[in-house]
Amino acid sequence: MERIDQPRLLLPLLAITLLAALLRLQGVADQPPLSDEAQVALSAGNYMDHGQFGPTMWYHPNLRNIVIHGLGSAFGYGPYALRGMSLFSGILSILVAGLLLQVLTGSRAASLLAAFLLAVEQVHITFSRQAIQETWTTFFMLLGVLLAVLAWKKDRHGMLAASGIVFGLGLASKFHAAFPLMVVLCAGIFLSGKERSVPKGLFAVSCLVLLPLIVYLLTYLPWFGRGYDLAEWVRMQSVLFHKMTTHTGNPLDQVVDTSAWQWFLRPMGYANFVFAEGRPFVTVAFSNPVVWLLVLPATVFLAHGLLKERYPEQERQGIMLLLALFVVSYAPLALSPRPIWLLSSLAVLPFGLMIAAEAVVRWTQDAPWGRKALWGYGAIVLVTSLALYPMAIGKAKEYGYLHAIVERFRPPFEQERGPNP
Amino acid sequence: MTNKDRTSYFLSAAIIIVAAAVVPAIDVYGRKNRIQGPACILDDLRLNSMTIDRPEDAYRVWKQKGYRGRIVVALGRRLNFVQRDEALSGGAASFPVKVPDLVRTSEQGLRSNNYLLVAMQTGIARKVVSVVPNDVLQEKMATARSTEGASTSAGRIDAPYFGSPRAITALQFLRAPDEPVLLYINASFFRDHEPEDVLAQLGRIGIRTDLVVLCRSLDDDDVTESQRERLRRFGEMLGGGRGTN
Repeated sequence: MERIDQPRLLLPLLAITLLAALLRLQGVADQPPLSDEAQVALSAGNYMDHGQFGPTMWYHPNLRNIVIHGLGSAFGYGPYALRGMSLFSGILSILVAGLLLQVLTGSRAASLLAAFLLAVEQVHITFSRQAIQETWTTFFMLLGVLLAVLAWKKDRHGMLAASGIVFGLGLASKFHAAFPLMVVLCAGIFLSGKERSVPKGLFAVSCLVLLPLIVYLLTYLPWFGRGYDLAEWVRMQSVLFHKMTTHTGNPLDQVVDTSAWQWFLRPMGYANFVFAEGRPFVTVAFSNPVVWLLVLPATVFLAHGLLKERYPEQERQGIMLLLALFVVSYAPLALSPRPIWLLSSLAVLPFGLMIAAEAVVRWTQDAPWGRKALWGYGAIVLVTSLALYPMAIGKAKEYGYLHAIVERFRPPFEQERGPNP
Repeated sequence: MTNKDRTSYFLSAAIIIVAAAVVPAIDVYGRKNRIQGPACILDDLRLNSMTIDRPEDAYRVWKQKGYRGRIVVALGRRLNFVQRDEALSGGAASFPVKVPDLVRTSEQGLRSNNYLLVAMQTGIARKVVSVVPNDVLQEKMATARSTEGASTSAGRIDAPYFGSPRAITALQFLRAPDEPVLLYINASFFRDHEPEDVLAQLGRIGIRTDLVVLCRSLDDDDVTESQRERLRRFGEMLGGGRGTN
């Protein structure tokens, strides 16, 4: 197994994580509270003090309410308390993504490239700076997968138990964490079946079914404080699930870019508007086509390599798991008939970026010009990401070339008025 | 069997035991958060009942008695669940974001048209069952079919409020919950029903309660004196004819 504690991996990975931190923290305290964030603070108090869901995103699980209320009560509802967990999880996800790919395929170059792609990823940057649960889910599911894979490779019980707990936190952030959890559970059962080991299988199921369930259930304690029993909890979960699967958005939600199946076929975006100090403040999470459009061809390339048995056994298992994580996480969203906005892509994107990174490294590694091409691609990604970056931090209006993109996300009630003078 | 296998079995057993302890413990914790008084059926001599003038007085009575986590069964022509948008709006122009207590805001906005909503928001009610006359149910059914989150079945609409259960039904479809309820009966219900029939039906399904609140709805111009008279008669029949307190 490739070691993940080598300085040759860790030092550049930490440098990339530092770059990610700079991009996410830049001016984050000056960004006015978005309406979602103000509602999130309200919902956190409503849940923790009274056990009542809502008023916003009441159909999502409740870790967000618990953490935001805790941070808000301790430090006041300032920008760092509200966005602290999103920033923390957003920044650490870079490190975890790099380590995960290293553990899966053993490719240092691919691991660093994947971490870099996520570090400069505009959609991930945008939501790392907002007090919603998107980057939390990404972080917990990446960490959950990493811990599980390490547990199997190093034969450590504690890591698998930690994986189950972390997946529980992921589920308590957003239901999307259920998809990678299912993949990891199936992998655990498959591995124990391969070894014909009943105790391993039993332990995998205990860790990856019961522990997430316990953690998830415990986050509902304030709700149980309203007098509900377990049967009512199950019924309530079905109401939430129904709402999740049929939610068509709020009247002010954007009406463009709502099809998840198009995420990796064309550039898309998700915008947030708020009026602060009499002026509109707009952030647009916009997918970088240089990266996103590579994901599906890279997926096909790696899958083709698997079918042709081009990879050594150790890498084969890792690539197979990576592809399964991507496909299983993406398919339910891509096939969903309801509108799904780009913010939900963060439950899929890290796996897509890892696939893209792995494929790019494989395309270039044997060519004489490969190293230059790899650096060239990295440079193009960096330049395009920096060009889009003002949109992620709400500074697009200062850059004329971004106006056309931002105008695209003008909400319906604004479109009748035409562009701002 | 290797040491690793033994550890796997031991840890699996530990996790299963923790799960087997946590799950029922949470169930018990939930049930323990229900606060109720001594309960009985409607013709029991010990039945507790009272008459109020306005719907929102019911909320005040329940709060004063300290009820929490209850199922409220409310009979009347109105749903009393009107949401005030401003209570839920929470925009903020700058940091720190202000976080008002929504329960206090909700209580401040207590009106006759929203007392059941306030009871739900403040945690007195964990579930609301509105029992309406058939014509009202049909009207609400038509609306519910096109309302996101609402579902309809024979004689019943389920329209959860932010995940909290809420149902609308008619008297003949009402089923008694397996726990005592807070029973509220508005005079308007007797526009379409005879007191004897209502009492008989509630008795037949075996509804148990720790408090019956009878509301004369003095603020509602649609409620007539004859409906209030029927409500009074209904009150007299409660507790095996002992009447209201």
